[in-house]
Amino acid sequence: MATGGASNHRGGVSAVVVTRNRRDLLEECLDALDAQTRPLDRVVVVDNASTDGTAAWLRASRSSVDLVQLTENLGGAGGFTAGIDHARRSRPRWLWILDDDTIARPDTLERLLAGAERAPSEPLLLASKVVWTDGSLHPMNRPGPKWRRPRETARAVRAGLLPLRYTTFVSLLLSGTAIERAGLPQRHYFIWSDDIEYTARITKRGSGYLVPDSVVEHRTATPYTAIDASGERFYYHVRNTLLMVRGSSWDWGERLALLWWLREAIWLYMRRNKGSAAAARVVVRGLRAGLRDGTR
Amino acid sequence: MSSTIALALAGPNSWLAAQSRRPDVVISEPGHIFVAFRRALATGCDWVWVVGPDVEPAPDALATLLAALDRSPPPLPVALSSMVCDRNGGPCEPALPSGDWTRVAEAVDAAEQRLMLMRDAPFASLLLRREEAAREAPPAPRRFGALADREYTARLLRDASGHMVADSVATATCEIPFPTPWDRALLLGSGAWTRGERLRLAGRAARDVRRVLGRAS
Repeated sequence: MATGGASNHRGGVSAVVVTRNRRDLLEECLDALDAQTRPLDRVVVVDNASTDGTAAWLRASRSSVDLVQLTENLGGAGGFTAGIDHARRSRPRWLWILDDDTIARPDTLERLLAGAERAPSEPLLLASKVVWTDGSLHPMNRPGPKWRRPRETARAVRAGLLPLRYTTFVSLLLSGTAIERAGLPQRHYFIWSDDIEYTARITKRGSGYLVPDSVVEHRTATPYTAIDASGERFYYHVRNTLLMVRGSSWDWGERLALLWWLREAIWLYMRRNKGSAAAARVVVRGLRAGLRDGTR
Repeated sequence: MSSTIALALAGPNSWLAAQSRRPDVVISEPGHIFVAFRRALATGCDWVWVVGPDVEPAPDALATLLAALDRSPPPLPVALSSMVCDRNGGPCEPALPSGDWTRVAEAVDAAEQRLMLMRDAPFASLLLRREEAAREAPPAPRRFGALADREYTARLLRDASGHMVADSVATATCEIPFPTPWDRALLLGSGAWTRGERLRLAGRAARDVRRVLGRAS
């Protein structure tokens, strides 16, 4: 399908990369962006208050990068919000959102854009297949297929795509129209689930697709998920899942499913931590904050 | 492909002559698809192709299903379904297989090959590996009504893989109705689905009720 529908966007693709204290990985990530068969029009890097000299290194060796330097660590959610907000001002047709430990293949972007061309309805977002270093699907970045609309699914499968309900910020191509309609991610999520909430908000009233032949490698130390994460990260997982349940990005059936998953996650987390008092405190703190904090 | 194929059908077969790959055995039981299916299982062929009375497979439907075997990601599928379209060429929702979104990695690999990982499928244009299909108890229309085919395939696909092949097309020859909420509710009595899947089925039944009420008003 033609994807030039957003008349108030100038065109082109801007990449947004959020980084914090991972200069070596960032360098690899940016090298991979430079090597794209479909060259990028602009690269925005958000430095989330790194203390390892990332900003100085970027200024010295990557002068073409548009640097957004934050004075405090706002977490992934704050970093991506700042980056998307900054990049959208030049009204690009697409924003390509990546983590600093995401290494794209040379044709990753080209294939995402090809996916947009063959999508059965105008895509607001497209995601790459995210693999870990061993080539298996990264468990942290498993996409959420939209399974409730069989007709849309059938059309998408015919085009070699998978319709999405939610995905993560690890190689996400976001249309300017999506940002106009949905606004920005929720920076107060800090980390974890900010991308899931944001993409669910977008696909609630629009189409998003996974492009399976567009692949990136997510180079985390291990293929971990929220359940394997440290206490502070699991706190955010619990809190933010409840914020999602209380928010408006999901329908009632999906909210029930979110609660079900949260229950499973807490059970697994407690089991993994042998029911320790510290782990229980993390869960209780997350539950309290999730019920108390504002949703937007 | 040297596999032998038995066709089980319960409706007209005028489309059969145009098939680029002909089945080796044809078993026809007008109006009784489950009887035809059971007889086809007894033939000893490698595959059973079940074609419902309300669809007409495209001339390359069977050949395309078989060709998809070469590109199906492992494990080897036990079921391959055509995509049922209405007369305008769009997907016919009541006759589409349900996707299996619990096995996301497999679903992603399948999508790359223009296949959809199935959780259940109707007896519309469905190719089943006979050996695995014969191991399951046959469809039980007395217990599961109009969706007995889906209940049967859900059992078959509980621990195995099956794909909808989007470029193998069968056209609905009449308007295929959506299942009633009662049809859906009957499925809750089957052990084919997990607890989580049953919750989803209940949700779909609730949506069916809403649709019926919406139509009535």
